[in-house]
Amino acid sequence: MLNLLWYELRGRRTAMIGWSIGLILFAFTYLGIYPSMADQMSAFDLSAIPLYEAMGVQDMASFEGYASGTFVNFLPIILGIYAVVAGTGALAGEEDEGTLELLVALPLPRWQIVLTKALAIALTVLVVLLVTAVGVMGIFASIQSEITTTVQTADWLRIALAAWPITMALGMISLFCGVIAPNRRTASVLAALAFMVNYFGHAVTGLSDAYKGWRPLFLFSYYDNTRTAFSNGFVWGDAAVLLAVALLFLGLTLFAFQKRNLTVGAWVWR
Amino acid sequence: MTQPVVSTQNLTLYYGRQRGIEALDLNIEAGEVFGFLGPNGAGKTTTLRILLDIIRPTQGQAHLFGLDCQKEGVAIRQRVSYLPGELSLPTTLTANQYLDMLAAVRGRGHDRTRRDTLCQRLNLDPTRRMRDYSRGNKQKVGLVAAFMSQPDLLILDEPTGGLDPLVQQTVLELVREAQADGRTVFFSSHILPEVQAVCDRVAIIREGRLVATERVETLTHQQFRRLKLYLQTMPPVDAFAAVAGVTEIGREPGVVLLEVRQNVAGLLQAAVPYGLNDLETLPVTLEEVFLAYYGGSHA
Repeated sequence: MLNLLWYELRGRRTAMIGWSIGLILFAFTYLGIYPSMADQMSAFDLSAIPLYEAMGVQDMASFEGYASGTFVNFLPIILGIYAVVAGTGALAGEEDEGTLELLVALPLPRWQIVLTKALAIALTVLVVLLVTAVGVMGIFASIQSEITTTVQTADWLRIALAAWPITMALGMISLFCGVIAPNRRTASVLAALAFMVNYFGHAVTGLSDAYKGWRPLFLFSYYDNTRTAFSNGFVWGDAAVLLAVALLFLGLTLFAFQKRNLTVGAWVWR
Repeated sequence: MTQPVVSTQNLTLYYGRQRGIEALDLNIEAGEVFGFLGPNGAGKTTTLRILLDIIRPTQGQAHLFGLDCQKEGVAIRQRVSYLPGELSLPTTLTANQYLDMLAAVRGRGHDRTRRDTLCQRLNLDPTRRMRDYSRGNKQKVGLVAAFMSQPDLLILDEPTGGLDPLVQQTVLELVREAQADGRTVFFSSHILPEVQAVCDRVAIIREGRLVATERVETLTHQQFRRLKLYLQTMPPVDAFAAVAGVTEIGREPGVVLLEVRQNVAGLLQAAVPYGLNDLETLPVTLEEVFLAYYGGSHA
């Protein structure tokens, strides 16, 4: 299994490098320019517009508010895109391309193939987040003396790692979609739909107290994209919920893949 | 009697309402090179995929080495190498990296010398990234992967696809060598001369059903013969029409070409009045036999 995992990770090397660079550039775009905009930002009063708060943007007046409304807020959205791409690509994509047929013809139980793919996605996201954290720490260190904030350089590691559980949940949902759907395209539509429902569901239910009871149903409710992300520390309870969802969908994927007729291009129950 | 290496009973698969294969009964003995012939869509690849538990049958059973293909797939695949008909390889790796991974997953003592020899014989440079390979080179990687682990059973689906004639011959040599080493080869193809060249027995599949399973030489000889009669006098065009099982298919001065399914004695009797000088039996290719099976008639 380790051999296969190594092979999987090798195949994801380009993705690791590309997504890490992309996220660091993204962080640089928002955080790097903050010192020159800090004065203008302090004039923004977003509290009158509930939609902003629902989307996780509470204030732009403080560095914490600005950083959470931009980098912290968008990090799981950007990584969510990777989760959908990698999750649907791991099994459905390889089945469409024909490479899965060779893998399944090897003396490996199917559960081992699924588990290896899931582990490879998990490790890839982790590496991307760690590299991004290092990059952001560098960017922050370079602007820290020009801004007023209680955020410490080391906080960025925790902030980055907090995006791992939600990315894993989205990744495992995507992996599952890839196993039940007839092809990758359909799987991507399903996974993207799940992603959007979870993001916008969380945002919309935040607009009114009447809907707030529904909020826990959406995955993004377990990711802190507000300025408290900097002060609250790592929220283990939220991470546990997201990882439980990831494990649930991994289990469903293992079950469905065991049943799947590969290379046929049909729904798993047909 | 020894246990067959491949055995299927009433093997049936439907893709929804669409037919895959129906009631397939196959037995392949140890050490055989078994040809599996049929046109595209006949069900060859479906059968091979069921044997490797890539897809599951609607009904019936499939066993390799006496083991159930669905329940004991891992143990089976430890002893089997598979070359798919539509080979697709991970493009980001070099052939060497890919072959290393396969060898590591199989977990056997990996004979690197054999692998290098295979690359040499197939004229493959395994250090290049597979995205840069032509179709033929990708096929060579698949062939090295299939032959390098020296399995008990080789399942080859259209193994010479995309290869030039010289390399095709090398592949056929590799198949013969595998057989000489006591291995069993399940050789699926629609290229009939190569099946004829290496296979001991052949099964013909048509529209998902097994039409015939025969020894290659039996199939080639028993179905029909093509005879050339050298005559002193040319007979009238309908001279052999009354002879049951005989059809005239051509003529030129002094020669009549006939296809004979039965009743050679009757044919000779009918030919004697025209001064039968000589008689020649022309070889019938497997392709012609196959076309006769498939189309119900042959040209």
